[in-house]
Amino acid sequence: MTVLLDIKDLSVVYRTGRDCRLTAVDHVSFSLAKGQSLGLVGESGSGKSTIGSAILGLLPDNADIPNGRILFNGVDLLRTDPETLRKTRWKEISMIFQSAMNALNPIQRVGDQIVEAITVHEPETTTAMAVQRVRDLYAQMGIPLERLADFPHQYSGGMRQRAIIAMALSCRPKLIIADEPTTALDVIVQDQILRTIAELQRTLEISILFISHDIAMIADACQYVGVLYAGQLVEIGSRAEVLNEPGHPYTRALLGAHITLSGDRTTLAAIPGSTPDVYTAGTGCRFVDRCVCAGESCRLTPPQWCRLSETHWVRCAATLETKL
Amino acid sequence: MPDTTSDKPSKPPAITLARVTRRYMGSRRLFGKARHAITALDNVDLSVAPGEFFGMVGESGSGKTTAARLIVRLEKPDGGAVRHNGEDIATLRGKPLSRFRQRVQMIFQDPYQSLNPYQSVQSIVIEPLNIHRRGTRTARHAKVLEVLEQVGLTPSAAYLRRYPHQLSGGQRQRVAIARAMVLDPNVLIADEPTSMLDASIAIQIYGILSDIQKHRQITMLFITHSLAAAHYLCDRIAVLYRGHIVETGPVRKVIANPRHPYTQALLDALPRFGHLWSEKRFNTLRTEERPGAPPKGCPFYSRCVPADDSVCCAQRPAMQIVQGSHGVCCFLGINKK
Repeated sequence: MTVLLDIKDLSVVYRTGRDCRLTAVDHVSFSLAKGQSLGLVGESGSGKSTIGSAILGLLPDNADIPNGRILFNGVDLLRTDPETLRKTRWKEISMIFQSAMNALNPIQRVGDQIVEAITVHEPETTTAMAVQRVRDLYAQMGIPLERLADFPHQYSGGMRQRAIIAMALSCRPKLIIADEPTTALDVIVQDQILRTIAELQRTLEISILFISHDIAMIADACQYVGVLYAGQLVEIGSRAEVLNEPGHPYTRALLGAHITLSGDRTTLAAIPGSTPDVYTAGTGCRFVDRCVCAGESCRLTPPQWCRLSETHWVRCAATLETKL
Repeated sequence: MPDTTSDKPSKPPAITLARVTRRYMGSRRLFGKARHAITALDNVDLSVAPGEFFGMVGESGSGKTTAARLIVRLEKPDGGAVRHNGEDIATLRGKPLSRFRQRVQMIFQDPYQSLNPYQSVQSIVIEPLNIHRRGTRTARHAKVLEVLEQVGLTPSAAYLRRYPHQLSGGQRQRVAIARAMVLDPNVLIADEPTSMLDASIAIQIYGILSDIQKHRQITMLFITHSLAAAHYLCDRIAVLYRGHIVETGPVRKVIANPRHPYTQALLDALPRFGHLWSEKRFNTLRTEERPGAPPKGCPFYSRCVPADDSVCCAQRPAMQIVQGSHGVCCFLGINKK
């Protein structure tokens, strides 16, 4: 299996004021093979969106990357010149943004926007060819072709998100980053969008990096699941491993805090407390204050990675102890 | 959980909607013809017993938020009546209206927009007490601290001087709940209170709502698009589709035995932890609408897969009882095994 995206030891630091630094992403490593899907789950402030922006080189000006590599097809995106990066973006890696309304230009017809996205990145493609490709994409997405001439505000929320997906697919990328693609959509539309993306991933062999706060959504849509907590990756594994044998107490808490129809109403447990202030994080495990299995040593020593299987890794001292 | 559907005859329902219709007139286009009016609620009948946790479930555009706005009298119905404890709220004036406003409170969807960024937490939560001239200054202050504790903002004194931008989304929504609870209402309406929040924070908010309802015996009207959330919180639900109630009943019965194809579609759409492809689906919802839906027929006809053209086109189904208080508005669902 060829590795498409390989993130090694990535850190992102925001300068938030004079002498004030916030480590949003802290030594994160993971890789994504060609044609596969990985979901990153985490609460707000866990650094999941920052990772997505870092891959696309879209970090704001006050962000620094002190260490790490982002290898895409073997090329380090952090060390390429801006022109190559600009060409890679959208043609090789595209993104489905969180809020579909803000991702589209309100005063340009949706069809024209997608055609423009193609012709800008592929100068060799004629407008007529681009128009034909957009028509094919619309058919694939199940949007009536006559809607091509409409403006974004005339679309419903779900249809707008489909148009965004069509746009993300327009240059036939190898990797799509989907940052909360279904937040703010109704359950039915959310379900349809997720099935559409999963279908595309299977038929077109595109790799997808999903980013969401909702572990149920990630579990439905992805083959691999990574769990982020306060800027650190704490668990990664295949869907079945993470869902059936979660190794980290935080993953267990996330799974336990999700409503299912089968479960008894009383079994649901909210995760006590809230994400720690990354400014004041100590040397030990960051989940320690909310953890049910934490010992005294967890507070002082940073947890080490523990291998549960070929693909399943957990960063927790308590899990490590039980496995030894 | 006791079945609260059989409300005692001695007490009138806390909230009643009697054949309520609400239309929004289309705005005139800059050039050309006026737009069609949109019927957000169409002859809706609903009653919520005192102390009940009632859920309204539906997609956006189903009219659930419109119903909430009518119940708190932010808007008035174009037809029918909204009653609170048996009293038509449209006729209220002066003192009785002020009393009604204190008794029925609402929590809005987006805590990033429903709190004034220039007001501190203390000023946000104390404002309803000041407006309705409740108690002395010290009593008001004590009351603010008390409700902040109740919604889990502890120690409450530490939050008084904070401003909304210093709070997380979950904390903001707690402030919004505190503001609604400070007047000790007997009806609380929560309009998708967690749709802007992380899944893990949503559970905390559900816990707070559930505690409040249990301890204060208030009537809770919970609006959501997720049947799973409704299942977790509510005693009884109504499923809305484009301004019509299509199914209603005790939440467990409706979920265990959904009779309306739309209810089935809502169930199908719930995340099922990695079984997106494997688990059996009923596929009762058309992705593309049927063209030329008959105006006389069932409002769901245009998206219904199992629809029977001979019956569903010709007339509008009425609400029929399946069993007990479980009712459905569907010609096919009523006979479904």
